[in-house]
Amino acid sequence: MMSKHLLVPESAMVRGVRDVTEDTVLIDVVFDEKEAGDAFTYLPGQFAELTMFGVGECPISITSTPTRQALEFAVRDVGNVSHAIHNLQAGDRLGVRGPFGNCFPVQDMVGKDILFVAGGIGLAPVRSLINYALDNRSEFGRIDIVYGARTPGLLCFSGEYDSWRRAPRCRLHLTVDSEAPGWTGTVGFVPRVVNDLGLEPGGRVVVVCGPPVMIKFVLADLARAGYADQDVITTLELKMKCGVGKCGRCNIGSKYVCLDGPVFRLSDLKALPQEF
Amino acid sequence: MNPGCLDKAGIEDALMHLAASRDVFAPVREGGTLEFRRLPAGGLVFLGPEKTLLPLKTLYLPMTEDVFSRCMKAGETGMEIAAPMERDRVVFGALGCDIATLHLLDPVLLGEPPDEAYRERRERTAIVALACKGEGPECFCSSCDIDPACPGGSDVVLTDVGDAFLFDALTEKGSRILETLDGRLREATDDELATARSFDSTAADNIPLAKIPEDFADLWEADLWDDLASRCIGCGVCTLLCPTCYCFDVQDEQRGTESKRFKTWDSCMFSEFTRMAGGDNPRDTKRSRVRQRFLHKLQYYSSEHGKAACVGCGRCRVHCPVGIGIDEVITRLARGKVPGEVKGGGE
Repeated sequence: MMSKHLLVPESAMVRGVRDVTEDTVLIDVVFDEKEAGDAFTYLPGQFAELTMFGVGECPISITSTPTRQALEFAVRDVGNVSHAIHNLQAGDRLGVRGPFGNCFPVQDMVGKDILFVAGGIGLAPVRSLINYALDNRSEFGRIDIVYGARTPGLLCFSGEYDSWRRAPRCRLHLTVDSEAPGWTGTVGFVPRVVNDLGLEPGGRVVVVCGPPVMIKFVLADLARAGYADQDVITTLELKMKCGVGKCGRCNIGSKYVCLDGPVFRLSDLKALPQEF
Repeated sequence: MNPGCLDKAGIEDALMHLAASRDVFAPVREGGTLEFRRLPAGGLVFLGPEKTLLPLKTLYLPMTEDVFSRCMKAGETGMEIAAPMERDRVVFGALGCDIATLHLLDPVLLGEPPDEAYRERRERTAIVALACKGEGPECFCSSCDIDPACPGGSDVVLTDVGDAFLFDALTEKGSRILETLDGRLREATDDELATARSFDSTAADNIPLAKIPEDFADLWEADLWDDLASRCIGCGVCTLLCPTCYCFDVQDEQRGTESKRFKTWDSCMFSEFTRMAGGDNPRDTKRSRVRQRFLHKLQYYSSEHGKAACVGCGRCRVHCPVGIGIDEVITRLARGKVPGEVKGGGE
């Protein structure tokens, strides 16, 4: 979708708002104009710029999957705009521009096993691809999801874990950083859980998204385990304003995260200046 | 249309005649500063080989421009998109370096999806260039493939031939301007034509833009960045006065029941430029920001668009409080391929 002016959003209505963790809400939006909704076709990994009128705009990854009806964004309360989004109620209006950026290379993943590794709010873009893969279950091999957060209360999308566990050839491995009251699951950092699984690289693609420190350790471990750089995929987050490679702030060398990303293979990232 | 001549004494009157049918902009000196202003303006129109403080880009990418407004009353969802301009425009006295800038901005701003406001301003503005010899001590446009004596991309070229300007239309748009001025232009004398023909650039052509290594890895860890960062005070004046800088910010505000979005100039020299809401900042040092500024112009831009984003106007050097100029940076970057060979200091 591209509106008449590249910085003018389409008006959309909030259908629902719910908490997905202590500091993150999930909003479900529908465009006011039917044509705008029809034109908003996206794939997992893309993002949109959300406008709180009179406050500002911020880039948020699309967490829903195009295989389902809802258009959803998970927003953590970290800045002016995201804070205003937290105050939204059903029926309120916001602006949406997009979709922007590339997407996960879903075509290249067909027929392969997928290991998803996510930490904290990093699950938001990954959830789009998880549900996309589960909705096209026969096209992908075995799916493993390793997901962790600092505390049980910070685990996103807990309402969907059962459906992931029940899906054929799909396993969910949850973990939290340290012991917590009422938590009976695995305790430990995400990289350790990934290591303990000992999944072999052959025919498997890994999608990694989370805090930089988690990504750093996971990438090092995957390299040791023999994963090729082109089979390791991650998404980057940089400050982005225009979404179309013109405002000048999200570049890494000559690449723009808003155009050439946010999804990158590790092999692509290694060819860039290390400034992200 | 054949070149015609207009005596200098009649130029203001001619500009005002044009202003009846379109917006006319020209360099105007006011309070010691030369700026493009819409006529009539207080101050004196100056058509000469002197750069305006702010480059021509301000007429295409204003410092601040409205994008849209929206009524915040309950039930109202409509947005009003701001019109970038009303009447067609003509800019007088633009110099070759500034005009060349537009051809560097075009691929970025007209690339899909285009910046519609920029496109409209480009399409509806005629450019009357002033032939220039590039004589300023800061000028090195000739090193950037620009001929200031015959500025490409303009609709009319004016050449100073003594007591008059020779008007030479290059495009259809330019011919229409000459038609509007018909009756004021007289035939050029042989002497005047000869003067115009001998007009030539003397700008420095030895700044080695073409010798800058194409691979960022060759320059990424250069000592030069430490040296520049230790001198730079991060004021950003280089980016604001640079004719090829286009980076912008998008801001929203609410006044009463109206919310408004506007676009403003921004600068990669400011740490806020890349700082995210959560606090992370990939360019959190002055060294990284200085490197971004110069590598964007000299390497990233050229890898995308085939030439460096510098027109050799020298504004950055003239106005930098600590005397950093891109000509110096180019010369030093061109000197060494291996990071260790690009030494700081000792210029």
